[in-house]
Amino acid sequence: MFPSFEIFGRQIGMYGVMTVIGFAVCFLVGSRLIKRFDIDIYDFALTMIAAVISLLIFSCLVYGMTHIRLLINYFAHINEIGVDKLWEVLKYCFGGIVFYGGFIGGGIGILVYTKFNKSMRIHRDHILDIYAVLTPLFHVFGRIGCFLGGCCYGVESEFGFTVHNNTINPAINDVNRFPIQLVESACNLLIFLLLLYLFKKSILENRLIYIYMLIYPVVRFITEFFRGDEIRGFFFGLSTSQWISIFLFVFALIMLPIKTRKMKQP
Amino acid sequence: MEQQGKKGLAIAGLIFGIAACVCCWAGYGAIAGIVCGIVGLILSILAKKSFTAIGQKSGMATAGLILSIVGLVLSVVMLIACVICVAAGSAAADEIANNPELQNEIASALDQISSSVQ
Repeated sequence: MFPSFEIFGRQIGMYGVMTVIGFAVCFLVGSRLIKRFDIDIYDFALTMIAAVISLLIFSCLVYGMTHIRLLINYFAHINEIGVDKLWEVLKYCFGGIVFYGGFIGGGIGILVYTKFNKSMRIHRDHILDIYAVLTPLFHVFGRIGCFLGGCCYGVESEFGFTVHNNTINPAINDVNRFPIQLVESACNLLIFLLLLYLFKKSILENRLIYIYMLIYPVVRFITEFFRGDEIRGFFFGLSTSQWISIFLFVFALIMLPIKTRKMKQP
Repeated sequence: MEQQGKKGLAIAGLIFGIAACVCCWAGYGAIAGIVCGIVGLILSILAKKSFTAIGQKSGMATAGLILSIVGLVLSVVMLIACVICVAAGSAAADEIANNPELQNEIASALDQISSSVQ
């Protein structure tokens, strides 16, 4: 739709711009949410940095896992292909991000940081609650970035948009496609509002992360059927994201009653 | 002694912030920009936190914080294009991966892939 623009002769990707806006908005909202728990803004910033570092690593690793066959094949024939291609192979295989990888990575980052930071240890569940509220908010901007950039596009449809001359994702060009990115963005906005309401009313306190894992995977599982970019790995007729959706949903279904029982214990 | 250490953090944060602002313009050097920006941000936050705890203000820590944020933002914007959101062109790569006989073509395919990623 509008993948990039030029400033001083440099191409600026709209996805990057939306990512930055998403992070900024999330930090602003997060800095308001932490007031309830009396968490220091600098501690919150450091926790978020830990989460973002972990998020980036895991999202790239999961992306790399979708190219595992290419990696294995390259290393099996490294003598014929040449070591000089290693950087290009790694750049291609790990040069992308997967949302679920980032979500899981961010959660792990928070758990690790709060484990080793004494002042934040008591706020672990609070931070996870805030993380659950902020994740769909960030995803709202991320999916708009996808729409503008022309990636993660929908199936061919009479309803939708036709993109021309997209050089970053040529596959999207000249076909009328369902704007699944905007649909997912709207769904994420609704999830954010719901979780924010639960947070404000202290409903299901310390368990919002599981609520998110019960709602978003269902949305993602359905929206995946309307995705037109059939290059995200398919196993037994389901995409990688759908398998991860099932895994997260089942995990949350098991963990939610366990956590509730733990909280009821004196 | 304690205050010197905190000032050291602020100086280090400022240096990393400047490095992030410089690196972000250098193509794939933006990766170094992101790393410098994150390190600068952490050091500047730690410095600011320590100065706030003793009721003082530190212009150097604030400058480091701002430069780190600016460098980090610019690096992210420069580096991320939407193409990295999905596996653009991975269908071709998977085909290569599934057909070991196409080894001679892998090199040229990877060249195409790398140019599309750039």
